[in-house]
Amino acid sequence: MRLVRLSVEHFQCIRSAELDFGRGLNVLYGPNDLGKSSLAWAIRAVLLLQHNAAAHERFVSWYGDGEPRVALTLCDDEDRYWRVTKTFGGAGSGRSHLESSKDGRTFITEVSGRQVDDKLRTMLRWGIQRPGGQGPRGFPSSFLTQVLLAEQQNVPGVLFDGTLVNDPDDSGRLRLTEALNALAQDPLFKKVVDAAQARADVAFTPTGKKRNGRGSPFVEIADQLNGMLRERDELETKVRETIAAEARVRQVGLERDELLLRLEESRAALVTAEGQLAARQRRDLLRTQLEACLTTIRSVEDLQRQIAALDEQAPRLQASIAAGEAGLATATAAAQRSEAERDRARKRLDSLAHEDIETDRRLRALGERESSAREALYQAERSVEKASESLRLARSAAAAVVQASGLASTAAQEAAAADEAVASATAEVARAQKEAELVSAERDEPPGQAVASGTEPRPDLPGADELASLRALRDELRVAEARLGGGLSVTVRPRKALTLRFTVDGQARRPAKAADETVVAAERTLAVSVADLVDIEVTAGEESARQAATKLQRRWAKQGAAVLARHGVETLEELEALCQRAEADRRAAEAALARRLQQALASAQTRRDERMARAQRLRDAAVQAATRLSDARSRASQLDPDSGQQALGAAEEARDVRKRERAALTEEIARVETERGAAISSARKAYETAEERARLDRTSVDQRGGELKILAEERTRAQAALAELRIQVAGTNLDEARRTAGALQAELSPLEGQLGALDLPDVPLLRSTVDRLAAQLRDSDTELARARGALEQVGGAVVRDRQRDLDQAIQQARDREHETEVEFDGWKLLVETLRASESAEGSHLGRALAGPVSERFRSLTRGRYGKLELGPHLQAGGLQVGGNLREIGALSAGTQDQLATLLRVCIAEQLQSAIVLDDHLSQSDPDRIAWFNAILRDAARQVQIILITCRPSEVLAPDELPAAGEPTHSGAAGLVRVVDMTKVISRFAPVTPADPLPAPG
Amino acid sequence: MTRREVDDVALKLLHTADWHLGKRFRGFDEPDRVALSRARLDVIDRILAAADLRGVDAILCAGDLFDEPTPDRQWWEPLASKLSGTKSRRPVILLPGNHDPLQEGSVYHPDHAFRRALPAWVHVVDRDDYTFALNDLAVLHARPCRSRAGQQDPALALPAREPGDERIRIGMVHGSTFDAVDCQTNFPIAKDAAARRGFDYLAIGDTHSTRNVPPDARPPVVYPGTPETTSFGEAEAGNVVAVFVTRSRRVTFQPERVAYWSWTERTVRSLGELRDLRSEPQLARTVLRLTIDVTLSAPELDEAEAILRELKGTTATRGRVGILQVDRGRMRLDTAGIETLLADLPDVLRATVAHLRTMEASDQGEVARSALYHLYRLVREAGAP
Repeated sequence: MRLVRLSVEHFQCIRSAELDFGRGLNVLYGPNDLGKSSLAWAIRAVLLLQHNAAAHERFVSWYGDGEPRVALTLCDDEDRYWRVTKTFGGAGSGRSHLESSKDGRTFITEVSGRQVDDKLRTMLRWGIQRPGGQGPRGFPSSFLTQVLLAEQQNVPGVLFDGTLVNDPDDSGRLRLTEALNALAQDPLFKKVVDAAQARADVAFTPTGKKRNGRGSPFVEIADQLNGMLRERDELETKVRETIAAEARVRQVGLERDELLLRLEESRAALVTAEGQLAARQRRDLLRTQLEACLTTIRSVEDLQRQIAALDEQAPRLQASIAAGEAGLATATAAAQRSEAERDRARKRLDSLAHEDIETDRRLRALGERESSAREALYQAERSVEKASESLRLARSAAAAVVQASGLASTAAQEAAAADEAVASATAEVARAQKEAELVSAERDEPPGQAVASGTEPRPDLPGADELASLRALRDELRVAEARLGGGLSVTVRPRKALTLRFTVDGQARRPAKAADETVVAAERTLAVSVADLVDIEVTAGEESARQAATKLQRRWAKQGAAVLARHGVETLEELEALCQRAEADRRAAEAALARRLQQALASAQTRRDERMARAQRLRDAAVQAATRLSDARSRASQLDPDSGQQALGAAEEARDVRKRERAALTEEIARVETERGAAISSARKAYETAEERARLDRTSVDQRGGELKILAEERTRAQAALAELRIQVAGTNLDEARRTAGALQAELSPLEGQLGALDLPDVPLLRSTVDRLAAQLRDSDTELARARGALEQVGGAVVRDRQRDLDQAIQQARDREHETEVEFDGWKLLVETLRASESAEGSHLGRALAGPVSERFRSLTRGRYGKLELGPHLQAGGLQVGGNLREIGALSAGTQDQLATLLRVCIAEQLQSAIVLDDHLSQSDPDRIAWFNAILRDAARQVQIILITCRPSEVLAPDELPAAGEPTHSGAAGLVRVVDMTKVISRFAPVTPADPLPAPG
Repeated sequence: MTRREVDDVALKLLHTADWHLGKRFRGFDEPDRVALSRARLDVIDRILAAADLRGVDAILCAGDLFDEPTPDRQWWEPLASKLSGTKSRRPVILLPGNHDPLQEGSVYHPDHAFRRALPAWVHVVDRDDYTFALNDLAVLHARPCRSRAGQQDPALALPAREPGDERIRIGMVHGSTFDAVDCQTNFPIAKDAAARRGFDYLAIGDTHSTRNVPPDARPPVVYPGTPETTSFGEAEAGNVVAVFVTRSRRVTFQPERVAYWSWTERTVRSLGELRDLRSEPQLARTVLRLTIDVTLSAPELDEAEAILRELKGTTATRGRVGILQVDRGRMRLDTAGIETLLADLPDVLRATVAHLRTMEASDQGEVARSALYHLYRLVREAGAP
């Protein structure tokens, strides 16, 4: 960015000024008080200050009525022209415009008002906060404004106060970082990072995503891989089909083989079973015939044995019948005897039953008596229990009287003590109330009166009236001093090196040792102390104004300064603040004391209320205890323990008599019941024995009668059967039957051996099984043919081979893909890491800039000083001198100015931005000024420099000055433009001409 | 073979199979793929030359001559041309295998242009009862594959020797012998199929290695194997088999190498081994799969990469190895001491090295090592000290 044209009106002492700037070094020269520095301020104001900011007041013309107006034309790095115009003033009068132009002649308005400053901040990127933002009040300032537009009075300021840390906005840091990164970049690093970026760009987009277009290494491999994976999916399907078809063929084949085996087995079993069945049928026929023959033989032989047996049996039957008849007669007699004995036992039992009725009657009488005795015993025991309860109650009542008496006494004592505590708390409350009322009354009194808080105000502090009086006097003094304004300049030309101490408008400057001429300007007063020799004070203004000011200064010294000194402050504002703090302290102490008293009163009242409540509770408890004592005594008087003891003894004695009576009756009943049971039991047993004997004897009679009858019947049947058997035997040929049986047995025996224990074969079932298996085999053959047909449709070993080949190719493709990813991820990571390292290194802006500054500074000082140490935020840390770090402040004022100017020029070069040097080397010797001229002319090839000076002879050769009557001169092929400011600036007040130069030639 | 046997030879055959014309070599770079595919056509010239040299009565091609049943014209047309160009005009019998089965539309179908392009002395086994008189004393029975998979034994499907038939009987089928995995569904060939059907020699195809199954089988049941290896791990490949049958039907056979390429897998475990590999002869006709299992410093890695470039060649230079496939999965950069190698760099580059070194322990370690190597090479290429 460079300045093109500046136009100023009504700005401080300038009525109007207008000048054009060259691209390189612009030397603006003119005498002191011409208004050159005002032009520098005009540039700062138009670029940095909003038109309605309060700080514009300092630019209001001292002589005219018009509002300050500045128009500055700039040219940016893209050769676009911008013209910013500001008329400074409050609401209604101030305004701003920003116009742009492609050719620098025809402008169009871009923005106006507040947006102008917004746009300028964006364009300049100097670290100034945007309008309306939070930032320091006053004239906008930042590190870069300090570098590029430093004020005349603070040339070395960039070395002491300059740092990016305090910038209200980061834009300045960012701009410097961008500019200095290029300066810091190592050529090898640049080559490496460019090459790595080129490789990474092959595979990744600028946002770090993988490229997915043609030419991307990922895409090529991924396409190959995806194609193979798709093909593999298809092959897998075919392999699965093959596996399924093969499995199906194998399964169906196995099933068919199994079916075939089972069919053959079933057919063999069927043939065997059918043979067995025929043999079995023949065997059964032979068996039937043999059995019939043998049956006939056995029947005849049995008849013959029966006839013989019957012949033997007849005499035995006759003898048995005779013996049975004799036994029957004996049994009948025994039965008759047993029945007679049974009848006798019956009679004895009946007699005992009659006697038992009498015994029952007696037992009932005894039972009734026992019941009465049991009731009497129960009543006696109730009487004993009542007597015992009466005795316990009497004893309990006596004990209750004793306990109630003790409780009543204790309750009365506690109630009395509580009453005393209530009285004490009431007194405490009264005391607290009294204290609070006292404090309240004191707070209502006016300040300054003594209070119990102990925060008495300082009695010597001025009151409000006195402060107002001092403030009026101070304001009057300021007005009078302001009227002294108009400016003055003192030139000191020491004849030898002396320490000079200047105080400009009341502000002391650092003492400096000077041997050359020194020019110092002031607005109103300027004091010079020359070594320890003399103090000179010069005051500007008219006589009447000076007298008025002197008079007021004396009044202030007498009235105001004395008060300030008494209180150890320097300004009236500090004294006012002191008074305000004292008043605030007093009020805070009073409020704290009142809070403490109120808390004490509330606490005492709380304690009193608690004690009153407790006393009331204790009094109520005493009354209840007395009532309980009275009741206990009344109950005790109604119960006598001695008479109760006597009644209990009588009741226990009566109960014991009843117990003995009941025991005697119980014993009698048991004895009677035992005797009766024994007699009846004996009689019943005898009867039962006789009855059993009679029954047995009668049964024996019946049995012998029956046996005899059977024997008779048997004899009759045997006689009939014998006759029948003899008839049957007579009609059968027994020998013929025996021969037939022998022949049948001979045929049957081999068959029995052959068939053995075989089960009967189920030939139909076997035949059915064979048929079923044969059908299944046919189905299986069909299924096998179908499965083989399906197998021929699949890929078989071919697809397996292809799948194996493809798997290898896929694995290789995946390996290549992985290698490619690792390779390009490596390039990407390398670029990222290089950038991160570069950023980490580049954020230390001081390292980038220290080199060129130090190099020039070493040249300037002929190697006296080493490297300038600049911090990450460009704060100056010191200079390397002889291996040690020296503070900048230790350098001479002139050297500080030179070092600061070098730093500023270097930064301007890096930013490619115009820089204003306003009398920057006022304390430098001619040699260094000459060196600097060369440096500035060299720098001006790259960056525009506006150099303001009142000593053009130090900067320019005589032939570089404008010709007589001409305001400007361009030299060095347009690199240097010289402007005689006396011909450019129109002041409100006349000035003296600049220092004369020797005439050219 | 003794002189007497030579004199008594009644039949000479050249038995080959598994040419797999049109096979794609997907794991290789494009130029290598082309070279390997073209080699499958080139070997046919050497097969035909071997037949001429031996003066065989016929060439038996036992299936899988094409990699698929419908190959592109670029594969069948040159084959037809080569077969047509033989001056001997001896019979060549082509048998469809499971890769190129005889199906509707397949290359062997009578309607296919390939069939029309074949000369009269080239015959295709296109019937299940195919019979061909090899000479007055010998007859060939063959049966084609009609699908890619099948469960029926193709050899047992051939006719048995008739009583009184004393001719030399040669059988030719394509399938898996009984000892192969999953042979049951890949046209299984029973161990005694040749004997049961009365063949003196059973010419079969499918397996890519030259084998007699079992090794001492009588009558011989022989796989000639593929004449050009198709993948790594195929032992005894690259041959055809010359078959000699005497009048007394004694059979001898002899493998004969015709392949151009030798396929080898190697692993190098030191830079020295890699350097030695550079000086090995016979690499020009080798398909080499090279696994690098070694950890190298950055300069060593540079050297290794240079050697690999020399072995493989570039688009402008021919590599020492015919076809090279490199597995760098186990080739690692040893970053210890890389700071020393890059010690004289500007601060910003040394800071980059330090940062990448710290990242090596993270899950980005491999990428960080890659970045370090990139940086090392860039710095060297830039001519840094």
